[in-house]
Amino acid sequence: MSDVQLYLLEVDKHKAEASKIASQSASRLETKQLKLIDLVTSLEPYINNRDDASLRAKSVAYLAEVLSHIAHKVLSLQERRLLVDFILGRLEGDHEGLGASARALISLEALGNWDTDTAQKVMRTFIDYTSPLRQFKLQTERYAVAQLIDLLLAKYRTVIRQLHDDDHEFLPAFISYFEGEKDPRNLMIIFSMLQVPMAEWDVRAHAQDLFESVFNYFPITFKPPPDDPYGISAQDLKDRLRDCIAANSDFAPYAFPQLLDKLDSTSINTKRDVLQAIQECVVGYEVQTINLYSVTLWDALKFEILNVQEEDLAQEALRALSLIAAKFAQTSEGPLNAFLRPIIKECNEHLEDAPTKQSEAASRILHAISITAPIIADTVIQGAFPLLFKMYHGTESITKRRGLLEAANQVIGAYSKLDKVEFGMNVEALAAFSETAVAAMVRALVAAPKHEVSFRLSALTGLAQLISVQKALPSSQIELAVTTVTDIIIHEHIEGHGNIRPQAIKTLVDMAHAVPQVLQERAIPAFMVELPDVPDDLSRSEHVLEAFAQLATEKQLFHTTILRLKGKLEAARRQDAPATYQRSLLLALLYGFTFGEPIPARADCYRPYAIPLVDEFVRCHLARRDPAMCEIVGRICNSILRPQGVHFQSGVYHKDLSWMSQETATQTSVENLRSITPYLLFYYAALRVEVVEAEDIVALLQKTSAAALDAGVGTNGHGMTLRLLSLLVNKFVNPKTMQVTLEAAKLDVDALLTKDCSVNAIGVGCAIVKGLLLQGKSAALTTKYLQALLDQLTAGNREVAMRFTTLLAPDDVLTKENHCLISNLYKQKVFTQAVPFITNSVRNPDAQKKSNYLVALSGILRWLPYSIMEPSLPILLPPLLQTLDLDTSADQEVKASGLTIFESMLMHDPSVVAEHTASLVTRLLNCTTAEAGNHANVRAKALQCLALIPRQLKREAVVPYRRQVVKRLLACLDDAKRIVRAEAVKCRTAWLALDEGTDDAD
Amino acid sequence: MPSLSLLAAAHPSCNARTWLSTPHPHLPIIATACSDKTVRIYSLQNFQQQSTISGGHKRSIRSCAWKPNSRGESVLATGSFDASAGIWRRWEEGSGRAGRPEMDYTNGLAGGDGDEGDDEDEWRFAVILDGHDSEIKSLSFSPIAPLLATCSRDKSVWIWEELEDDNFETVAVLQEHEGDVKCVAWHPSEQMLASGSYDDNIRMWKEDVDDWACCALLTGHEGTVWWVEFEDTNNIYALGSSETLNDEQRAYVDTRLKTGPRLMSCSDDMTIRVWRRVPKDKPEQQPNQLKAPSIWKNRAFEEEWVEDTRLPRAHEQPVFAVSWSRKTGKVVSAGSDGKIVVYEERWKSGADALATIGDGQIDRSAGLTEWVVVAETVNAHDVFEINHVVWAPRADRGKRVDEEEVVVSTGDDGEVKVWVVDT
Amino acid sequence: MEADKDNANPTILNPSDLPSRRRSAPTAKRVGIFEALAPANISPADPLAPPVASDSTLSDDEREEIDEQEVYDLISTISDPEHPLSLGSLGVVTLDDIAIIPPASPRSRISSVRVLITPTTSACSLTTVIGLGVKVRLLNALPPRFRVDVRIKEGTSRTADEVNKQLGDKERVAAAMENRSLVNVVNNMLATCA
Repeated sequence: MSDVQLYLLEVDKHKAEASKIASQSASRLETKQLKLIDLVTSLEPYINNRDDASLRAKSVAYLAEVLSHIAHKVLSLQERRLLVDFILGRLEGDHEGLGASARALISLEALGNWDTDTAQKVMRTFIDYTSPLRQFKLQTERYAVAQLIDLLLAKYRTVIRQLHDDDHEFLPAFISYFEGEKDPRNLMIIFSMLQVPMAEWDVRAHAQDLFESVFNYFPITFKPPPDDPYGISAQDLKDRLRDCIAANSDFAPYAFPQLLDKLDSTSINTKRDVLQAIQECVVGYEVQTINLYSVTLWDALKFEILNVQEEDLAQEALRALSLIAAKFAQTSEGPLNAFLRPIIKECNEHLEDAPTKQSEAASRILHAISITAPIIADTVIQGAFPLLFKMYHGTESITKRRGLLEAANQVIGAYSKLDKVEFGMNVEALAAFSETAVAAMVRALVAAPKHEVSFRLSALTGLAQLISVQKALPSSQIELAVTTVTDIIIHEHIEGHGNIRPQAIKTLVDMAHAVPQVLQERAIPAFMVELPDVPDDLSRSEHVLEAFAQLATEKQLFHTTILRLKGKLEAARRQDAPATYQRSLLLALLYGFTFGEPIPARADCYRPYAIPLVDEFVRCHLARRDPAMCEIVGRICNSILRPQGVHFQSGVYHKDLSWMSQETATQTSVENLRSITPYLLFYYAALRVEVVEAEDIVALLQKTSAAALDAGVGTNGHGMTLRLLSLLVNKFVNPKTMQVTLEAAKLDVDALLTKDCSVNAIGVGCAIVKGLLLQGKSAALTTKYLQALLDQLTAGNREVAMRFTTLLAPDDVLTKENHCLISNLYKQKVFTQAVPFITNSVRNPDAQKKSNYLVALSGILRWLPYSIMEPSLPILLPPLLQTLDLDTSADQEVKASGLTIFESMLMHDPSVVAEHTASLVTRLLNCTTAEAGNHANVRAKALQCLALIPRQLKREAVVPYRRQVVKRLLACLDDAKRIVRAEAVKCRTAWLALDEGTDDAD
Repeated sequence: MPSLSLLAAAHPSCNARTWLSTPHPHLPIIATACSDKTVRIYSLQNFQQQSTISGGHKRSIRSCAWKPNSRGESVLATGSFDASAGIWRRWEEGSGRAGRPEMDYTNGLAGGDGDEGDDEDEWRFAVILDGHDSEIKSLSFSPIAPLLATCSRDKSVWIWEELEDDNFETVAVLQEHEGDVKCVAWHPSEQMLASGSYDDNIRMWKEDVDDWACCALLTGHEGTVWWVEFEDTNNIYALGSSETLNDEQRAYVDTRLKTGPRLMSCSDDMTIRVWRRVPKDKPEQQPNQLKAPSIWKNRAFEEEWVEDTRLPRAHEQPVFAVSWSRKTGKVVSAGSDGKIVVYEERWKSGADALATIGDGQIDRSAGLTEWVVVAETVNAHDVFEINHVVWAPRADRGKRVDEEEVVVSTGDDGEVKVWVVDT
Repeated sequence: MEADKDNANPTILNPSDLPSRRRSAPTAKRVGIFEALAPANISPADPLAPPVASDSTLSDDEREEIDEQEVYDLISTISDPEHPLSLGSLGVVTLDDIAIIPPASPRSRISSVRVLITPTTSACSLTTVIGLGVKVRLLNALPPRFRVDVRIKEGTSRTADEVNKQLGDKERVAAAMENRSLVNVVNNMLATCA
C-alpha cells in the first residue's frame, strides 16, 4: 500500500500516526527510495477524485505535510517549480485543501527562494482564483493563506509591488481579497501585511478603499475569550489597526473626518481609541497633511479639554495637541502660526473670566503646547502674556489675579522644564516679561492679605520657576525674589491658615540650587541676623533654624551653613542659652551632616566639628550632661565617622579610648556610664568591627550589663543601655567565641533567664538574645535562650510577656550601614520557634497566663512581615481574635497590633477570615466603644477593619450583619475623638453601600 | 408635672426605622409598620414579638390598620412606599399567647423569608390593592361601613369598598389636595373622611348623592399636616356627668352634642389644633365663613368646620402624631423633638371662663373648657424622632384598673415603647 | 448631554483657600524636620519605661466636639452631579453657611445642624438633588442626636421654598432613598467623600 493510502487511512483517527507516515515519505524521498514523480502519481487518484471533496483535501494535506518534513537540497529547482505549478494549477480549478496548498507553498518557499514570476504567480493565483478569502469557513485555512501572502509581501516586496505598478486593477482585488475577515488571529497578520502597500506603494488612486478596508474595524470592540490559546488582546489589535490608519498621509481626507465624527461617541472607550488614533496619525502623516487639518483638529480636541468628562480623555487630547505643535515646531513657521493663532486667541478669551473650569483648561492647553519646543513657548508668551498681565493689572479681584497667575505659571513652568533639556535656550521672550512677572509676584507675596493662601502660593511657585530658568532674570530681579522669600520665612509667623512658610522654605531651597551665590550674599546673612546667641522667642528661632539648616543641602552653601551653625552653638554655650536652643542648634548641624555633604568629603569635618562637640560634652559636669544632646552628638559623630575607612576610624578610636576608658572604668560610677551611653551607642555603631579591640568590648559589655542590671524599672536611658548591649553583642562579639566572651564579661544568660529573672535580668537577657538573633550565627545558643524566655511565659511572668516585643522591634542602630551582622532569617527564626509554642499553650485556661501568651504573641507578630505569617494564618486567627478581647488599658498596644494584622488579612486573605466573620464582626464592634476602655487609635483601627469587611468578603456572607452594624455604628458617629468619628463615617458608608439585593427596577 | 413612666419596650426591636404601631380592635396585640418591609406583631401582655408579616412589599411599610369587628380572623391592611396596599389574614387561635421572639437580627431583611412561623402564626397575603402612582402614606378602615381609605404622595385619596371578603372595589378617587396626602381618618359615626396634606390643608370628604366629594376645607396650618383624628362620639362625658354642671356648662355640652365629634390635627408648624363643625341650624352664627368653591353645587352638602382651639404649645419640632383616647378623652402627642406629651380637657374655673381665648375667633361657649398638659417626658426614644403615638388598652399583669390605657410610641430607633401615665 | 448644563463653566475655588481643620486649629502640633532626625519616642528596647505623652489627638482626655468645620468636611467633598468638581470648590457649601444649634432646652439632648446651600446658578434644576445629597450625607454621617436642616440660601434659587419643604419632609427623603435611580445619583455624588 502506498504512503498516501496509509496516510489517508490514519489521518482522521490518528493525526500523529499520519504525520509520521508523511515524514517517512519525506525521508524516503531524501534517500531516493521514493521518486517525487511516483509520489505525485500515487496522489493522482485521490487528489483528483471527482466525488469525494474531503479526499482531495486530505491528499493535499498529505503533500503539504511531506513537504514540511523535507530537508534542503532534496528537491531540485525544477522539481520545486513543478510542485508549485502543480499546486497552483489545481487551485485554479479546485479549492479543496486551500490551507494545505498554502502550507505546501510556504514549505516550498522555505526550500528555496522563488524567482519573480513564481512569487507573482503565487500571489496572482490566490487573488484571482480564491477571492474572497472569507468564503473559506475554516479559520486555519484562511490563516495559512494569510501567512503565505504575508510572506510574499515581506520577502518579495519589489516583486509584488511590481504587480501593483503594472496593473492598477491588482490593488483593488488585493484589498477586497481580505474583506470581511473576522478572526482576530488572521486580522493581526492582515493588519501588519497591509502596512506594506500602505507605506511603500503609491496608493493614491485607491487610498479610500484601502483605508476603509481597515477602518471598518474601528473601534475594536473585540473581547478575547477567557481561554484564548493565542493570547491576542484587544490592545494588540488596536495597536496594529492604529498603525494602519496612520500609515499613509493619503488617508487623511478619510481618516480625520471619520475619526472626529466618532469622537462624538458617548462611549469613553471609543473616544479614547479615537484620540490615540489621532495622535498616531499626527506622528505618521506628513507635515503638510497635518497642516491642512490642524485647525479642524484643534476645534474638535479642545472640547474634550474645556469640558472635561474624563480626566484621561482630556490628557489624551492635550497630548494630541502637543504632538501637532511638535510636528510643526521642526519645520517652517507658517503652519505653526496657523495652528497656534486660534489656540492662543481662544485661550486668551477663556482667561478673561479666570478662574473658571475653562480658564484652568486653557492654561493646561498653553502649557501642553509650550512644553513641546522653545519657539512655541516664545510664541505663546508673546501671544498670551501681554493680555494676561493687562488683565492682571486691570482687576482688583484677588481671585481673578490668582487665576491669571496660575495660568502664567503654567507657561513659565513649561519654560523651566524646557530649560533643563534645551541647553542654552534663548529666553528673550520670557525675559521681556520677567520684570512685570516678578513685580506682580513679589507684590502678591508682600501686599496681599495673608489669608489669600493660594494666591501667595502661586506667586511662590512663579518665582521659583522664573529663577530656575537660566538667564531669564537680571540679577536685580533675582535678588529681589530671594530677599522677598527669605523675609517671609524669617518674619511671618502665622499659625494655621495663612501659614506658607513650608512652601516658602521649599522655594528658597530650590532657589539655592539655582542661584547659590545670591543666597550666599542675601539669604544667609539675613538668617544670621535672626539667629541670636540667646533667643528671647525660642519657637521663632527654631523656625528660622529649621529653614536655615536646609540650605546646607546645596553643595555650595554647605560649608558656610554648618560653619555658621557651629559658631552660633559656641556662642549659645558661652552665654548659657537654654538647653532646648542648644539642642536645636545641634539638630541643625546634624541635619546638615545627614543631608548636606557627600559622604567621602565628610572626613574633613570630623576634626573641626565632631571632636570639639565631644570634648565639650565630656568636659561638662555629670549633672549637666543632657542625654538628649548626648545622643545628638553621638549621631553627628556617627554620620561623619561611619562611612570612613578603617585607617581613619582606628586613628579616631585610639585617641578616644583614653578618655572613654576613664568614663567607663570600673571605679567610676554607673551614672557616669549612663550619662554617655547614648553617645557610646552611636559611636560604636559607627565603628568598623576590625577597628575595635576585644578586651575593650568585654569591659564595656560587663560595665553596661552591670548598669542595666542595677537600674530601677523605667529608669531614663535604661533603653539606651539595653540597645548598647544588643549592639555590642551583635557587632563585636565573634560568633565562634560568643559563649566565652559572654562569660568573660560575667554574663551568665542562663542564670539571668532562669534563676534570677528579675525584671532587669529579663531585660538584659532579651537584649543579648536580640543581638544573637540578628547575628544569626549561634543557632543553638539562640534557640536555648529563646526557649528559656518562653518557659518564663509559662511561669506566668508578665514582664517577660511584655519584653517579647523588644526581640524584633526595629532599632535604627542595628543596621547593615552600622556594620552590624543582620541575618535575613531572624524574624522567621523567632516565628518558627515561638509561635507554635505559644499558639498551643494559649489554650491555657488560666486567664492571667492566657493574656501573657497573647501579649507575647502580638509582641512578636507586630514586627513580622505579613508574608511570614500568611501560611500560618489559620492557626494564628483564633488567638488573634482573643487578643481583641483583652480589655486592660495596658493591653491597648496588643489590641492595636492585633487589629493591624486583621487589617492585612482582610486585604490579602479575606477567605481565611470568612469563616470567622460572625465573631470578628462582634469583636470589632466591641473594640469601637470607648466605654470598654479602648483607646482612640484602637477604636479607629477597629473601624478601619470593620470597613474592609463589606468590601472584601462575599456579599451574601456580610449582608446578614448589615442592619446590626449600621445601627451599632451610630454610637461611633458620636465618639469623643474626631479621627474616630471620621473612620466611623467611612465604615458606616461602606456598610450602607452594601446592597441588600431586595430592589426593584425604578 | 407628672411624667410618663416606661412600662416596657417591645422585644426584639427592629434594626431599622419603625413608622407606626396600631392596637388590635379586641386582641392584646399591636402591629408595627417597619421600614425593613415587614410588619411586626407584638404582644401587649409580655411585649414579645409574636410574628412577622413580610414578603408582600418591595419597599418600606409606612402604615397599617386593623379591620374593625372581624371576629375569629384578624385582618390587617398595610400601606407601603411601593405604592400598593396589602390585605393580610390570620386565624385568631394562635394569637394572645407569647410568640417566640426572633433574636436573629437578620430577621426580615431578606424580605421573603421572615414568615416561617408555625401554622397559627401564619399570616396569609390575601389581596394586593394597586392603583396609587406613588408611596402610600396612610390608610384607615371605616368603623361603620365596609370602607377602606388610602392616601398617597400622588395627592389622591382612594376609597375602596369591600363587597365581599377580599373583593375590593374603588368607589372614589379624590384629588383636590395639592400635595402629598399624609393621613386619613374616619368619622366615628358618620360616613365622613378627613385627610391631612403636604399642602398644609385638611379636607373633609363624604358621599354627595352617590358621589364622594370634598365637603369642607380646613385651612390654617402653616406646615404639612402629619396626622388627623376624630374624637369619640361620647368624649364629652369625660368632662363630668350632667348633674355636677352649671347651666352654662350644660348649654355648652348640648352644643357639643349637636356639633358632634371634633377633629384634632398636628403639623410641621408644631401646633396641635382642634376643629369643630359649625351646626347648620344656627345660621346667624357663622364666624370666618369659608369662601365656597364653585364646584359645591349642593349647599346642604357643604359643611363648615372652624378651628375650635389649640393645645398648649409643648413641642419644639414638628409634631408627627396625636392620639385621642376613646376612653378618657385625653390626648397624647409626639414628634421630632422626642417628647411625648399628654393633655387633658377641663372646665375652666369661673374667672377665665369669661375671658376669651386668643386663638382664632371662637364663640364664647368654646371658651368654657381649656386644654392643659398633664404629663410629659423628654428623650422618650433616646435622641431619636418619634413617628407615632397611640393609646392602647393595658393588658400586662401590672394593670391597675379596668379600661386602663397605655401609650404606645414608635420611633426612628426601631423601638416600640409602652408607657403608663402616672396620675 | 453636557450641553444642557445649567452652568457649564462655574467659578472654581482653589483647594488651599477652602476652610480646613488646620486653619481652624492653629494649635495643631507641627512636626518639624528635626524630629525625624532624633526620634524622641520611647526606645523600643524598654517597653516597661514610662510611656511618653502620645500626641493629643489620641489621648482620650478631652472631647473634640462636632463643630461647623467637621460638618463642612463631611459635605464639601460631595461632587456636583454635573461637574467633576466638589461642592466645596464650587462654593455650593461654605463654612459660614453651616450652623450648629444647641439643644433648645436643658432637658433635651437634641441639637440641629443647619446647612444653607448656594446653587451654582439660580436656575439650577439639580438643586433638589444636591440638597438631597447633602441631607443624606449628613443623615448617614452625623450622630442621631442632630436634626439635619438643609435649605437653599435665600435669594439664590427661584424654587427655594419648594425645595426646602421637600428636603424638610422626612417621609419624602426616606422614600427617595428607596428609589434606585435616585439612590444611584446620590451615591455617585457621595462616591468622592473620603
